[in-house]
Amino acid sequence: MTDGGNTIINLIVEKYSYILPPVARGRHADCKRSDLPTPSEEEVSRKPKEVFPQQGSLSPSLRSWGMGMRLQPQCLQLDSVLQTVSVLEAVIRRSFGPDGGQVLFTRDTGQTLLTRHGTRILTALRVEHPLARMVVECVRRHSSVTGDGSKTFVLLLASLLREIQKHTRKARQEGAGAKRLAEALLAFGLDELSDVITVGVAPHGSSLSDPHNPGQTDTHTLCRLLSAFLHTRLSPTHAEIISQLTCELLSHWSCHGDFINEHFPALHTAVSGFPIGCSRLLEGQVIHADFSTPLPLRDHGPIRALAVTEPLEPSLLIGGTVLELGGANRGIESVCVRLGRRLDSVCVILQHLGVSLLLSSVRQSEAVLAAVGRYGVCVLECVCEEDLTLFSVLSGAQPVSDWAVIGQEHVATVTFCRPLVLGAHRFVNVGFPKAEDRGRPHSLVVCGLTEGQTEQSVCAVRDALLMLHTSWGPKHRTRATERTARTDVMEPYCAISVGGTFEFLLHHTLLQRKHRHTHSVTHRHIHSVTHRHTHSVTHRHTHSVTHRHANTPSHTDTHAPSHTDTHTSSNTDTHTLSHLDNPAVSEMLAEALLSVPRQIYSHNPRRYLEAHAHTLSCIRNHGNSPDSPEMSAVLAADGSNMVQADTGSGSMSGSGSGSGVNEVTVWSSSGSSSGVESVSCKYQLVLAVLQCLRSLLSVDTVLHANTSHTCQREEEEDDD
Amino acid sequence: MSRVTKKASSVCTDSPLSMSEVCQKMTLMRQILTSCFGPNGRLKQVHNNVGGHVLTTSTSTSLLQAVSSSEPLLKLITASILNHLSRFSDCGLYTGILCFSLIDHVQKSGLRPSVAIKINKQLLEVCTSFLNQEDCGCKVNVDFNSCQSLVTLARSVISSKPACVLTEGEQQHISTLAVHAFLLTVPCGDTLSSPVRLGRTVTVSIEGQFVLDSTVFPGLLVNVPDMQLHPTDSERIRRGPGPFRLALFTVSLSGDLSEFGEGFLEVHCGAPDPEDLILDQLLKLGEQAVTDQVEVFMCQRVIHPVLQHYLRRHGLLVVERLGIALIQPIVQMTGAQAVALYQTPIPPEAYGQVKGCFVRTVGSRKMLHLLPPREPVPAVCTMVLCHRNDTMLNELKAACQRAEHVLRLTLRDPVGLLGGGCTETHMAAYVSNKGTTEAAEAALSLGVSQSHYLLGLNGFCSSLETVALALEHDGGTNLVDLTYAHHWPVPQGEGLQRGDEGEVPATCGCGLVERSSRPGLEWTPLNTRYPLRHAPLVVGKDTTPTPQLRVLDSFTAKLNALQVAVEMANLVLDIGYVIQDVN
Repeated sequence: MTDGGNTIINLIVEKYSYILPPVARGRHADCKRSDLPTPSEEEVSRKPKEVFPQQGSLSPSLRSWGMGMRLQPQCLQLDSVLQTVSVLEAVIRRSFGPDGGQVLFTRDTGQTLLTRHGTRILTALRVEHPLARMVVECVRRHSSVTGDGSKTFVLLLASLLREIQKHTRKARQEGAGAKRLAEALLAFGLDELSDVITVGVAPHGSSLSDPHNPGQTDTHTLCRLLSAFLHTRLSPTHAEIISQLTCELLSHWSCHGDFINEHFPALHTAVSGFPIGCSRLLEGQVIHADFSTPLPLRDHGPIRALAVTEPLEPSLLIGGTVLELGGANRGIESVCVRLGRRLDSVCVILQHLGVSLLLSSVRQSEAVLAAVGRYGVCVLECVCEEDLTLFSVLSGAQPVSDWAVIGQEHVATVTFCRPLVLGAHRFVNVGFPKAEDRGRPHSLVVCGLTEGQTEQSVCAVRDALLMLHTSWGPKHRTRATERTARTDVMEPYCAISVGGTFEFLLHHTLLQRKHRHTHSVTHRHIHSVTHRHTHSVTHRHTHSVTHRHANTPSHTDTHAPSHTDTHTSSNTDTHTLSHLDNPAVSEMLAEALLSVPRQIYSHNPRRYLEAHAHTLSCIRNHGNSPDSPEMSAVLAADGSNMVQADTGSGSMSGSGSGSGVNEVTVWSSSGSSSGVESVSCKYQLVLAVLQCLRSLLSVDTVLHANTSHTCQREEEEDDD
Repeated sequence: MSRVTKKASSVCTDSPLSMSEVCQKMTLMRQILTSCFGPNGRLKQVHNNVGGHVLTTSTSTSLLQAVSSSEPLLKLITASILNHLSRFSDCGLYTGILCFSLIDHVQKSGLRPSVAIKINKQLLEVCTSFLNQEDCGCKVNVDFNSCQSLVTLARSVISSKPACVLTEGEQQHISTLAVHAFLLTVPCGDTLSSPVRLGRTVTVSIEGQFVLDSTVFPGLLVNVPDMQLHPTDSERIRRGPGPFRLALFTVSLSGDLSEFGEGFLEVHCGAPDPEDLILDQLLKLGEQAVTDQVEVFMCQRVIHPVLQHYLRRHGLLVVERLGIALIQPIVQMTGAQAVALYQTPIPPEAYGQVKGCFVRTVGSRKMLHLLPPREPVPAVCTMVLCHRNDTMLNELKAACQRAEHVLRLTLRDPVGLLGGGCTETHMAAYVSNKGTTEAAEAALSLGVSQSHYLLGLNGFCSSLETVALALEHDGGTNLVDLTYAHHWPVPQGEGLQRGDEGEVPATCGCGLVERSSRPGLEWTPLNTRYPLRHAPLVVGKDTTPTPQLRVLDSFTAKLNALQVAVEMANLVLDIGYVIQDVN
């Protein structure tokens, strides 16, 4: 499925256009690929229901109404949604998994960018189909929060849609509409998924926090987590170097991940023109500005520095003011003399404070540079805000904005200050004295051949930090876990090995639940679902499809906690939802999940079966018995290593060469460097997909409006 | 209604390398780069569709900047080569040829990209560790005690720019000048106590003179219009030697009020005219300069004519409108501090010193020559380059700047690499030998099959040899000897029989191996699968006298170029999808 045909996909997904006249708008997705899975000729030729607002030309609109009437709205809708998502999936699949390639993206400005970032790829497509745009927006939102899982998002979404399609075709007479199924899935995800993960997946994972030292982060697991993440975003050789550097960076900062996350713009420097191997960590902070006055050569020692945010010499005449000459003001020479004196007094203050380094966020006049330079002070002009903020945080000194109140507390001490030439730019590297509360400050220098490459690495590191933040993040499931009476609640820092382990485990747990359905404690709340639903419906936007749906996921996000509130309070609610739905729903989810590992091992189906069988045997051997967590954790870790080693070999050997030699190396390598991924990120991903799915399927009509009537912007209707 | 324009959808290309159109473009680019390579490279004329300037060049920097491609992959490769050049100034064509050749070989071999990437990466590591070895056979230590190797290095850079149109003698002259200028900018004396600050070379280009008229002066040549050179200035030399005091201003001394900002001035009736007051201040400044015995008074911008007249009358040499470019060299040379304020008196420490200054006629221009006060301040020197016409002069100027950069790189890493294709053939032989003997282990550790590994190895080695082959443009034959694996180019017309020693030139490409002193060498045409049973030998220093190296390349630049080329090839192979924003 992945081998490349040399066709050009032209994603001329039909735009819901403001400009074109409402004729000749036929296909939703014009897809010239031969190997796309779903969109058959027949599906493409079927026109989705289109309603044009009255524009004087009556006949086309009548015709399209007629077509819309002839077709089954729901069925059609599902097909076209699936078709749209499949197109996106086909693009995403190129860069998915260990064998996925890079995507080169040329901007209209002529820049070339490299990426394996799902969101980046999707936004670069500039799709015009409203549904596709909605999906892209959902992916973007999800990835801006967690920084992870954008490619899996699309895969999972497409596969869920396929499951729903299968189910609706099979059970049409049961009235299981796509939208109802999506709602049931979402409700299941919100209510029970965390329990399922706690029972079925979490015991097989390892913890991110250090077992010997609670509260501290286990650096080894952290590195595995980072390296696995970066492998999905960079080419393998780059990922090794960058993940090693990121780990070092984190350890230098004593794993203050959030701090690095916050100040990342100031903490990294991208240099193009060097091989990636030249990337390194630098002690201290890199200030992205050059000396405006030459640095006096002097021996090392602590240097006193001052950060300023205003010009030392104000302009004599600010726009609009009038300077009166003659009379009391005397001549202009007195003004000039005053100016000079003021500068001198500032210099005296600086000398008094012993300042020899001035960081200015604004440009200083030449007179200032010359005057200050005479006192042996070197000046850095136009220091950007991020650098200045980080500087003041690290040094503990506030920037000066008023020269009248300048004191000892504004003076920072730096241990060294040296010029730094990175590629074409000249920067300044400053060091800070040791502080006990945070580690030794270090900055990251990312090298690459072109700007596109450095940007890719920087972006990947930024998202990796974001992903770490999510893995460590606030325990958003505490309420859900409180309800469970078990003691081994799902650990927020839980990580599980890569290679589809999460999906396999969840798959089996879901299927097992289905079998033991009658015994399991299920809380279904159609009440809560409808509550949320009506809320979102009443909150309907009347602008455009994309706007309305862009808002939906966050909307439901914000309402999720309140929902759980009502849930806990009304635990005795009657189980109004038909229990028949539940097994179907979990089965659908279970099947859909398998598409992810299937894609990971797409180049080698045998590996897929092996990995699957291996996970199964793990479950069978140790069960998901929560009674002996240590035992199962150890064994599972062992097993998951093997699974990971498997993936490693898969990525190495490729589809062609499954020779015996490879296997020996694979199984003999202990897998100590095997990657892990965060369970909580995965959980959030599944939830986000379910939310996106529901909002996708609750659209039934797309209205194309003409912009000349701005009042008629109402493009879109819900079916209820 | 605002102008809402529709954004067009992006154009997507799947597996770009498998498209014939892309391959054609890449082949064309490769041919262009290959035909420019080396001292015998062919020149390219670039002119755009609307006429105008026609560029004649063979250097990668000018060529790649002028030729832009719409093909994203080529854009990527071009950008990376230009980035490499901006850091190292050398080996741009080398990078391009090697990169394209690697891609080509992988495509021909039919290896899967992910496998080929791994193999290339591993072989690159073999190469870099080989080049970093102490006893590497292609490395030559640059000896700073004699400037011979430095001149060779400079000449290799300059001779590889055929668009300069230099004869052998002219090449030697320019290379010597480049080394001279470089040596002038290196401060002598104790360098351990304080960080070294290199001086700088200012280039003055003169059109229409002979190349052999090019010279290097210590100090600075300042362009001074004729009218500014007062008759009294010629007396300056007569006043005898001795450091002269120099004042340097960056602020405009024209006496206008422009730099007071945007507001309004309101002058009361009867109050003195502000411009007069400012002129008074300027004259006060002039008075101070005269009493402080300043001899040279320079300003980046304009000096008020009255002040100029006043200063000249007191025997000062006045130079105005220097321009921003010369300020830093003057500051560096004289030790002066540029004064940016005329309202306050000149601080005494702001004065700088020059040893002397006199008028020098360079070509058709009269220029003021400022001599540096003394050693060992970071010296500033001026290089006067002459050539017959503008195009060649520009090329020569660029070549000299590259040569200076390459020479400076040797300060950090005093090593050179054998030129003339010998490094490539030697390295290819080494890698091929090492790879073949250790194929089993390497394939195992990479997780690829041994046959794939050997296929990748073969492609990598022949790519390296392709670079050596690219040096030949006149239909000659390329040989490699089986002992040292050096490159022996045979000019066209001399028919070759295998092992026919009569036709083989006297020395190899770099000049290190001489046929006369090493009997028993065997040759085979390059880029055939020749049997090399052992690793290539390092040319020993046993023969006396040591043969004179003819071509020497920068180690730092070539090492980086090798890494860039392989990484870029890997990157291009890794790209599975291209999205073009066509808005």
